[in-house]
Amino acid sequence: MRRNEIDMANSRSQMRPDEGSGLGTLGQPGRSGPRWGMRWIVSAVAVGLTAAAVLGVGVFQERSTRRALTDELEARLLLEARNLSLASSSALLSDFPELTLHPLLKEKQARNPEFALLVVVDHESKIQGHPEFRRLGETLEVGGDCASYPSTQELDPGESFLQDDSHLLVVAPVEYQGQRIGTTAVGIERGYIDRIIREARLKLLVVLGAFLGLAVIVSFVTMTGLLSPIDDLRRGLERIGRGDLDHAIEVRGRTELGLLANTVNTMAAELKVAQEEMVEKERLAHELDLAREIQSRLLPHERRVTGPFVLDGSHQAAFEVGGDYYDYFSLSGGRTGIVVADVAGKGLAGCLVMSMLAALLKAYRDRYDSPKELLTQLDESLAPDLRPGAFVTMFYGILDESTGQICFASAGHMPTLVYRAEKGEVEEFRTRGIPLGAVRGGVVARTLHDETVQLGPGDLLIQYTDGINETLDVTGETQFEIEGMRTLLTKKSTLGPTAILDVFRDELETWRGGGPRQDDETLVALGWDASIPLTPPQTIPESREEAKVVPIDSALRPPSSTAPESERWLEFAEAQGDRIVLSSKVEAMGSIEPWLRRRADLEDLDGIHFDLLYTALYEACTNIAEHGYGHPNAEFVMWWLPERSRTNSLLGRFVLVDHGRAFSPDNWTASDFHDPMVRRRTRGFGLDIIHRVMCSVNYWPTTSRGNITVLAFDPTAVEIKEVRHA
Amino acid sequence: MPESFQIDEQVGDGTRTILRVRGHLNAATTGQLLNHARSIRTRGQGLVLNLSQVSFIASSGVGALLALGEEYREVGLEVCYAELSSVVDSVIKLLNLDSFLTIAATEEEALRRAA
Repeated sequence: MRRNEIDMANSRSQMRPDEGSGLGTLGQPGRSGPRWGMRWIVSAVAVGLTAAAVLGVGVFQERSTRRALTDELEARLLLEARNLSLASSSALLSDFPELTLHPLLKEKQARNPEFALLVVVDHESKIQGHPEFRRLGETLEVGGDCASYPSTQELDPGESFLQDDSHLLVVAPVEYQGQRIGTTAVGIERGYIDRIIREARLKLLVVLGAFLGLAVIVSFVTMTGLLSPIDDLRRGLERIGRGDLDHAIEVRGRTELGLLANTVNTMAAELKVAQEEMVEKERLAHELDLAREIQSRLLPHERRVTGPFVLDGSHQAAFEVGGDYYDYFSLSGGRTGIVVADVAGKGLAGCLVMSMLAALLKAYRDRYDSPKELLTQLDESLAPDLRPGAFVTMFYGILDESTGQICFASAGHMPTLVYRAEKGEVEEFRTRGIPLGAVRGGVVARTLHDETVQLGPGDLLIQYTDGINETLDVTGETQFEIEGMRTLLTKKSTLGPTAILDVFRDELETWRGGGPRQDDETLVALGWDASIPLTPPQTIPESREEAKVVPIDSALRPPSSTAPESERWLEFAEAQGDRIVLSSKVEAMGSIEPWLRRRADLEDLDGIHFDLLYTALYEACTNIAEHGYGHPNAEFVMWWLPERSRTNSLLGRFVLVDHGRAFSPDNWTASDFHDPMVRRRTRGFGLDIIHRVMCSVNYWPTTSRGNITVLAFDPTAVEIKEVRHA
Repeated sequence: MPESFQIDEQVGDGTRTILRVRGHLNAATTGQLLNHARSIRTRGQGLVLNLSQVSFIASSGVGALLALGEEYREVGLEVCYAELSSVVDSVIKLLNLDSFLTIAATEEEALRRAA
């Protein structure tokens, strides 16, 4: 049974059997066992103390009363015996003493019924006086079988106190002129005193009972009054316990419980503040985790090897997520883009700017062959969205893999360091560009310049953020400085780009003396492996995707213009293509087949290739509907651009544009059907079909016109093996 | 409008059950095929999958055919794909999947193989 003691006290009118004793259990989860109500405890203590006090007084008083009663009784017996002796003297001298003594004793006993014995005997021990007439004349040896009784009374000669099992008596002589002529005896039953004591004790018990009852009532009423604020406290604490920290406990009464209520109210208010701070901290921590995740996703996780060039990067995050960004990626024409940037400001804000920067870079990097122009474009796109005072320092370089030449521009970023293997020394390349977004109105563009650095075999180039050179030593006063980097590069560059990243990380750790990072540390290293020859220039620089696949035997090209290639294809398709509008639901893809069948230029296509073409387009469009949009309420468009090859066979391109969520076709690799896990996965083969049917797959995500996909179809390029039957 | 998707179950030779599939085999219908075929597997029966009436197969349909083969193989049973329609045949040729699937020209050939 779980029950709160206060509840028990409140509901005393409905007590259960065990409640009569005040036994109960508090309703606290996880705590069991008996609990005692305070009201009951105090009442019980009051009763106990009252009872002990009254009983103690009673016992003491009983002893005193017994002593006093005994003394009084002895004195009275003695007095009575003496009086009786005096009264009996003249009677015993008469001829018929019994005529005088019998009425006298009868009357005396009537007046004093407690006297169990009243007797007068003469000198021959004959009873001359007795309350009962029939006892007259009997011989009585007064006190013959009694023992002496130790009395404190002063006795005259011949007097004595005697006792037997049931009586206490006084014997006094009756004298006449000095001669003893008889004896009187006055006695009472010994139980007489006990009866008086018992009566006194009974009265005491009645008084005790009255006091106890009064004590219970008074203590209970008093405690109920004193403890009544506990109910308010309990209710208030329960509300606070349920999370209502705005609840203020109002306690009636001016006892310490009122002070306790004030303390609880203060505690609740402080708890609320602490709770709000904790929630805010958790929210910030969550945002920080998100920012870290975003940052992590945007950074490359593998090194890039192209020809003799090895690119690798590292990012060591400080405790607080920063805005460092780096990337390297393939560009058309056998080129590699390298970017290192540092967003001023940390936390989620810095990370969001970094994300914007990464998205803009992806959108624009294929458009510009000049790093300066790309940085200018990024400045124009980014600056309006930056808050005042925010800016981005950025290095952007383009490596020509066929020559080892790097063309780069720097928007206020750290100098580029190049270790020259031939000389065994480090060169430093600075530009005068100012950070992106630092000044509005095209000023940044005027400060940017393209610079060119020619690398040689064995050379190693590094780019970095200021977290590297500004790393403070253990004293917190001395920075690592670019000079420290130069020294390290001079000593260790021959280890190669991947190893130099580890060297820097270890060296900076030592420099900090094991202390925490004050800033993100980002480092990108580009090395030229002298043992590998340069890659010859590529002749098909249309796009990196096209370079990977079988070139279509086509002269079809969109008209030249300054627009990016993807948008030129789209404009071309819009001007000359045959289109179908598809809603973004999988059921709508069935309309692709009749649309294809209505195309006169596809009439000559045999059944197998038609089926495969339809299947591939179905997969491409289903991908957009399912993964790009994920809902059925959007539309996207596909155009067909037919042509004839130089051998007059059918060719064509399908151009799709959608505004759904972009995906990363770069991550796609052909499914390895030899792997049983691949065969079990049931999905994910759509891109296999598309890539095997189409001889060219180009995808430009998030262009200014949307996601643009260009699929080149050449039936003669589709490889179909004969199926082996069992 | 694509024809409705149907699966007809036929008693085979006692150890194999024949399923005749009709219609489009795509993301919307492969679940039905997988569930039906898995219920036969739990009965300890092999499977002959007649695909002659499949008028379209998407990548999810291809995935279902591959997965069924693996699931049956794991429990010591076999799926034989019989009478492939031209569409199915084209896609399997395209992806070079014939070495991972047991394919028969006719249902009878598939059952003979079982015997």
